[in-house]
Amino acid sequence: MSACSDPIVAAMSAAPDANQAVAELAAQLLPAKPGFVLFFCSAEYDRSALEQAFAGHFADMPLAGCTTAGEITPRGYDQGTICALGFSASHFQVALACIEDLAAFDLFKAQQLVDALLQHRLQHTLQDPQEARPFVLTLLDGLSAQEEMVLLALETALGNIAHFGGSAGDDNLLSATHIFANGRFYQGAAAVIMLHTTLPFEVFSTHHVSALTHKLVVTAATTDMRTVQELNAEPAAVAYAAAIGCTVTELNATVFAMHPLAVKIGKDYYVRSIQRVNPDGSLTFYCAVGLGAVLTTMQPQPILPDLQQRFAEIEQRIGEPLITIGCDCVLRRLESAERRSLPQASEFFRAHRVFGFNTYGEHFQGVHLNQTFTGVVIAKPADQLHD
Amino acid sequence: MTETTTTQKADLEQQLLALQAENQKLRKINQALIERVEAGQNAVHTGPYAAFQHAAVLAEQVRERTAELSRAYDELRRSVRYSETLAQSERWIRTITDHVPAMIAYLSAAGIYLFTNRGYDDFYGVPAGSLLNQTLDAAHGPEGAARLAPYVLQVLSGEQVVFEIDEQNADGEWRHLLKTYVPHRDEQQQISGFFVLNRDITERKRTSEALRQANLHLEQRVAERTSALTALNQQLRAATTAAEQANQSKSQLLAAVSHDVLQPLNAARLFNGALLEQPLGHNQQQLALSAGRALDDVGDLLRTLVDLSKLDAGQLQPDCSNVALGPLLAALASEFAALAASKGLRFRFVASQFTVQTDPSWLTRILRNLLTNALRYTPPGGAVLLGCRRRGDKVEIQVLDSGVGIADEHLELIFQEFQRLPQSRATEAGLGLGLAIVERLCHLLAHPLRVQSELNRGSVFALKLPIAEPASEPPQLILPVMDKANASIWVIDNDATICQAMNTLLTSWGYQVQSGADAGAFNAKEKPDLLIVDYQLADGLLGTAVVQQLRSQTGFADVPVLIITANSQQQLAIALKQQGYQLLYKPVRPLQLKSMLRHLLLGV
Repeated sequence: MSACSDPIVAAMSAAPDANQAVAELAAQLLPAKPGFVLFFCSAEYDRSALEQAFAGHFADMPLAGCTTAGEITPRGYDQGTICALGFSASHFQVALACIEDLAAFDLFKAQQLVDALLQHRLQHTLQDPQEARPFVLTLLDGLSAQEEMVLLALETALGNIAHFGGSAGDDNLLSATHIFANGRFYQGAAAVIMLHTTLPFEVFSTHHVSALTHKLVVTAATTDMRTVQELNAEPAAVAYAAAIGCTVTELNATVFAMHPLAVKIGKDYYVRSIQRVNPDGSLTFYCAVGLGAVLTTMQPQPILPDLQQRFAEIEQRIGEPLITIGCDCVLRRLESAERRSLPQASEFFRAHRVFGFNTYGEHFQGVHLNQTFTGVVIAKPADQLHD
Repeated sequence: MTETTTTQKADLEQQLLALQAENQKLRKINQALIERVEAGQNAVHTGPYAAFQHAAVLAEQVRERTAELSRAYDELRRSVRYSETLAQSERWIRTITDHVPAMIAYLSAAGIYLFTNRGYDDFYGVPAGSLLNQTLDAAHGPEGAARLAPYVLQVLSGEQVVFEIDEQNADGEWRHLLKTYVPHRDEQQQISGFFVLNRDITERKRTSEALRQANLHLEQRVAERTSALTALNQQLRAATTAAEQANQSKSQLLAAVSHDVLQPLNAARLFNGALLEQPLGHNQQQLALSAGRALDDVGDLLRTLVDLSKLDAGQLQPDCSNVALGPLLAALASEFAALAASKGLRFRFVASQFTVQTDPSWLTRILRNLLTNALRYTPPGGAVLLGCRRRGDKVEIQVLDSGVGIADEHLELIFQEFQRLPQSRATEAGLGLGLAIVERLCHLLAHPLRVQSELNRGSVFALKLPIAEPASEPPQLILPVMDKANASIWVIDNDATICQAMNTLLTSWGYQVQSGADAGAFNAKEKPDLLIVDYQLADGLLGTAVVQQLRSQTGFADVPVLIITANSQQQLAIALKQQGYQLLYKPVRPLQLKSMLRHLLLGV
């Protein structure tokens, strides 16, 4: 055992019993004496049992987490499990905040929150605090429909501090998603985690879709509810089905995953994923889509080659990766399942030590995204490269 | 027709409706787009989608700005690092130039100081850096600047200028400066200024003048010395030539001695030996004995001289072995005890059991010399002692006498050839070669020789020998003494006188003698009992060749051979002995010859 503990320890449990699962996590994590634990748990767990178990096994240790639409554990793509990461205090200075009322979160509050996070960081435990750089991880209730407003305010306050995150899921049940902070689960809330580290890292987001030619203009929408009634002045479901070449009755989550729509802002396309078809022929999205938005039909490319290329580029820049925290859109997982490439994806995640969860939307530099893989790659310290 | 019209009308109406519906849709799309555009970037209050749009735009801007910032940061870091490097190198240049023992400055083309080092400021007695942005006047005054003006013009025209000039330093002292102006060209090859390098060469000037003067004197002295040395050299060369000639004469003399002198001496001794065998009156007998002794002395002297020169030339090397001192010293003691008694001296001998590493014949000779001297320089009634004493792993053989002794100041002289001390004149004759031989032999044997003496009290001569393991000595054979009368001896010598002398002597001893100059002179039908052959015969013929010739005859192979020679080279002795010949050196003593004959003929 080296004198300096591993910067990040990964743990998982597939035990369905909350207490047993948390006990297993504690057994794997606590020997390394982490300063902060981040977890992603299946929505199947009894949340109050989890709360008690965490309080019992981890006592006062700072914890943050969320429910998922699937976990990425040391086994790869996983379901019905808890995945957790322990961050050593000597490599990570962690500051935690919880936004309990997303609707009331404005720029002023965002500024206060970021100030508090930065202030907290002053009590540093790092070996070489001058060399440390920060990044922010956001976990947000995936069904709150508040991402855009909250993230915009946060982004404005964060300035150029790197930021990524994901929206909590509930295994495609679309009923309730939860955030864990301050020792308990919240609904309609967000956890904001600021990590300072001396380890090299890079926050990134990637997608694998390219633009086709069909344009669909939103001509009627209930913006707060992310519901689009009309596209091109036709019932949204009809217009979408016609654009992608199928019937309205054939529409389901997998079809949405295989035929995404995106808006172009600046140079980039931003995928706006469809959550469901409503009985009235309207479409509800995972993210905000407003009146007059021009949606372009997109063509997904194979997922893995894109990921491999991105990882290769990043590893070349920052060195041998230690770990990657990934927020992987649930639709990408559906897409991989449809393409029968889940084992390959799992293999890739294991090989690159990717841990994380399947989201109801990703966050990158204050922007709410869909159908992307967004995360952070943390590399080994430069002086440990040749261990 | 009507029906057709009606149908057409219905179609048209349908088309119209479709177009109207399409139009409606387009208007709606148009309206939506207009709303979106008008909502513009005023995002925060117009809902989530606008917020998303805004965030996306913001993120893109942030990305761009971040890239810009990181570029700017890199640039800044580079420039900070560069300016740090620059500052560092400037400090270095300053440190270096300040410590260079020279005055360094840089002036712009307008004649303004832009750089001066400490040496420069110190010379003109101004505070460090105070000349910067000043003109030449500030350091030199208007007059000084005027004197420099032509050189400044020259350097600004692009030429490097080197000149010497006298200037006053801060203490008002006139110093001689060697100045170098180097033009500085910018990238466009325009002259933007010039470098100044001043060196104070006052001392150097002074020293070089002194040196020049010293040089002049030196040259003169060298010339004088050279002529003196030349003269001396010539004398030396002459002296060397003379010495070489003398040496050559000595060698020639020795060659003559060993050949031409020993030969007649040999004859004389053989004759004298023959004479003594004749029935003589008492007086004649005494005279003949004296003549014999005198001849022996001359022979000894010549042999000593030859040996001395050989020792000097390194021709003789000792033949060392493990030698029991007891018998060797006892023999000497009995010999010299008789002599001492005849001179009225007491002689004491302390016997010894040591075995030493030495050449026994050389050691005998050394001791014989020392004992002879001891007897010679000790007046009657005195005493001489021969003894040994152990000194660690060495044995010291001592010869003590209670004789005249040697004064301290003469101690070093005694080992030189022909040196005899004043008081010795009164006593018995001697040529003074003895100790010279002793000293050389001891040196070659590595037996340190010690002399201790007190005037009129006596002397000690002592030599140290290394102790060795006792050698297993063969038991001495004692053979009965018999006379083989009438043995036949052939003498081969080209010198008729020698042949005659030998004839007389050997005949008087009862031998049958034939003699001749070569093998042909003898009656080949007879066989001799012994051959006595001179080594060096006439015309380069060697005695050994004659022997071989004779021995080739039947029955001659076992005839013993005695070679007589004046050539005492060791190699020859070894070679002859290897061939089974016996050897005697000239001049041959009759007694020596007699015992050798008895040995060869009777095995004694």
